[in-house]
Amino acid sequence: MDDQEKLSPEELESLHVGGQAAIAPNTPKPDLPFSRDEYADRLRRFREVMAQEQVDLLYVTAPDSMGYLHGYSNRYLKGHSSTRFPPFTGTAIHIDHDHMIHFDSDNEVALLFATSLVEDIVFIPDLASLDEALSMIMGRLSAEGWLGGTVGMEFWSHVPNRAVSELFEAAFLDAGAEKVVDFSRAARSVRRVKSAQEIAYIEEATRIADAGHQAAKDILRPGITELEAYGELIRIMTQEGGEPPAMCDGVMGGRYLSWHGFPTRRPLEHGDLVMWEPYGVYNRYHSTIMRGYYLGEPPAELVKLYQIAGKAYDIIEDVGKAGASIPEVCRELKRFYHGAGIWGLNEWCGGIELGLSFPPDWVAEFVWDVEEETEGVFLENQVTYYMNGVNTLYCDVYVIEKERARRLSKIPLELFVIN
Amino acid sequence: MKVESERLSAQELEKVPRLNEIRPATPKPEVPFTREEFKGRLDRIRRLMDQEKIDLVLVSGPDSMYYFHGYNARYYRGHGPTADPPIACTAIHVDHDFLIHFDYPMEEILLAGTSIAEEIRYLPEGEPPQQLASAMMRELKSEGWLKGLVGMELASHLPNPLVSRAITSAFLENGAEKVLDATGLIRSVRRVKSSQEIEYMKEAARICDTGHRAGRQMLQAGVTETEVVAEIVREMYREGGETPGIVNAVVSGPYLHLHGWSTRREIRRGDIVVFDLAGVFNRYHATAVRSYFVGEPRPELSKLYRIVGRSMDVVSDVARVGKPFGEVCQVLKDYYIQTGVWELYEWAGGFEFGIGFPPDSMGETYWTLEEDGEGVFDQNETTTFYAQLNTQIADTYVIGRDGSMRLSRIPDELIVVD
Repeated sequence: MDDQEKLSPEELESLHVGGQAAIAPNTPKPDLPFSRDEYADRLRRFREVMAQEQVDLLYVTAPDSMGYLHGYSNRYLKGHSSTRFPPFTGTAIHIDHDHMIHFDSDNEVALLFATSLVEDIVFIPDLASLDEALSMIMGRLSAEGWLGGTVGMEFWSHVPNRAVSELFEAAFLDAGAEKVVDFSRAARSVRRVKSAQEIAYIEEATRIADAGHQAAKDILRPGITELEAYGELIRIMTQEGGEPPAMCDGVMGGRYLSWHGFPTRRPLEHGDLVMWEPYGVYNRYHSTIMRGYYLGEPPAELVKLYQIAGKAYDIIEDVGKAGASIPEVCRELKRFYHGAGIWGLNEWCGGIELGLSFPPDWVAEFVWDVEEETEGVFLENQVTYYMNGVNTLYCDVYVIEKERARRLSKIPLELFVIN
Repeated sequence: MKVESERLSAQELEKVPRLNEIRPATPKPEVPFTREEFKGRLDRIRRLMDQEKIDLVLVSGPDSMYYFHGYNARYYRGHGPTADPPIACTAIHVDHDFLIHFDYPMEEILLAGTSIAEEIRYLPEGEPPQQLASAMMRELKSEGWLKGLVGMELASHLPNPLVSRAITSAFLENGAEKVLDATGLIRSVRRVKSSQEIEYMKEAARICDTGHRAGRQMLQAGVTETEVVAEIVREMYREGGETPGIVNAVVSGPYLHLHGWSTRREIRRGDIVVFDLAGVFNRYHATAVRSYFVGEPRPELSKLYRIVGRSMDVVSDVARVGKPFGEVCQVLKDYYIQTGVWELYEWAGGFEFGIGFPPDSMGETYWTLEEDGEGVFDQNETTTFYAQLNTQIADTYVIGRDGSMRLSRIPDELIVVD
């Protein structure tokens, strides 16, 4: 290595810019998708629910919960990493305090400054052991006087994994907490009803998904592989301002329709029915719009089935308003399906909440099932998709309003034919 | 309300092609490895279980299930609603040469299409975790598999802590003596790669390189990060690439937050732009991180990249079969000191790379210059190496007897785009 280049001290000095250490003092303003007031209101509502659940301290770890509370947006949270990198990232909220304390790796300084409004951040060395990290976290919380009562954690979150979650629980108890309880449902309930700004982002996400449908007729043809088609879809939606979805979009041709499979290298063929399920994403808010595309001339009965089944969306639009009994909406839908002679084709008809999501998936907490007639009422400004699974490839998204459920997609409800 | 609608007659209903008909009821699984290779994997873990006196392991990481029987899904209910608990997992018993997979009936078609598991037990949908765990135990009990020591993959993101605990409780209530964390054991089986796995990683690297070339073509002042990454991913899919475990990103500007998403920020002249990409083929990953400069970089910066880029070759030369991690790290550290760049050190090191599913693709084995890491490199182990000394460069290596093979062909210098 005798001929190797070397940096002179002068050159070295001139390069002491950039990198984490140099970035931190510059403190860029976070680029937040919501007003400070909206974040403050979210924290207030979290604390209200903590009071109802008699939880004194909450240690929030789910990426969607952290994003909701203070904007933090990270594509790598050590969710399924080496055991050498235990996922300890989390945000502490205390019932009696109106500020949050965030704990993170010192590798994330720049990202936190760029995406989160949290000002009180404890940076833990990236290579710290979990014991060291827990010691720093408990030490700070103890110093604040935040330990002592009931602690809430998110046991339904994919992060941290169970091995780490249990050590957190033990550390909380060792540090003086009386008990540790699961706060997953309560945490998720806070964001079930959306603000006007959140709805605007889901509308934009839907417009992006719609752009993916408008491009479908140019993309889908015999010979193109599912993966090639998927790449084109991603490009179109990204050009429209979309972001990577929490879960790989559904693109699948006709050999076998396995709902949760990845797109494959299989070329589409004449006669395929293609599931085309783009997930529009804007500021991490998701929308999912699914339709079926037939390559070639479909059987007349299939076309008719799609025409008929599409009417179910009008029913929801009409009866799925704020305050509506969900069992009653389900019974109305079943009456329709029975009357149209297609209930026997039911695989799954129902809805799931949509909103802020990060990988590995966007499937949110509130689920309603037509066959089971799920208990509850629709709330104003709740957002739900409706999967119309009567041997049909249909999904659309609604905002529940006072007088109706407003369907967001402008894509027609029919089987699309590509000849 | 009354919606005016046509009605499908009984005759028409009969003629409607079912989604179930469009797909054959039992498609042959399209698995990317031979049955013999899958059998070898099962044999290896059973030998390790025998050594560790573990009677049964319950494999739940998507990467682990894929490794043992090919199961491959884009949705495992990892962060889903509490009404739909994540339950997919696979039981392996030390005394038996077959595995038992547990899942929901909804996944039957996907399992038939991707997995070689023949013993699949479907659990009822819509049940709480305790009920699901009990149903799982009944199945295992009927096989006589519920005795002795049980290992679970507790550092997997799947299932979540609450479901995982329900399964542990059910094991203990149904005859297991003890449940322990077998994450390390399960992951250790796949540390050394087969020739087929290495071929897939080479293909993944080729796909990754096409992404770099497409991104470079697109890169100029005025385009946004997301526009560049869109072109990259389209090209990678066109080349046969798949969805990576961690989202590929193009990040730019004065604040390089490497774990951030690509944004709608317009790239400007004078920006360093980092392409943090992984190509994927049959779920096997290869990463190549490179830095691009839009405009004319300062000579010192280009020089720094040349020097640090050379350390990628140092890894190729030094990291070989039997070489302790610590020795490789020392050679690298000496090189950085001799070349005057050590003061810029942020992080350098590597981790195992191979199978990955969202939310991330980092493997288990880890080495870094900051630690006196124990362990030695094995034949056909695959590892990344990241060199972060005010630089962003990374590559993927296959460890061989005479050195390690770098998989990317993209130059490791600061790539200038003018």
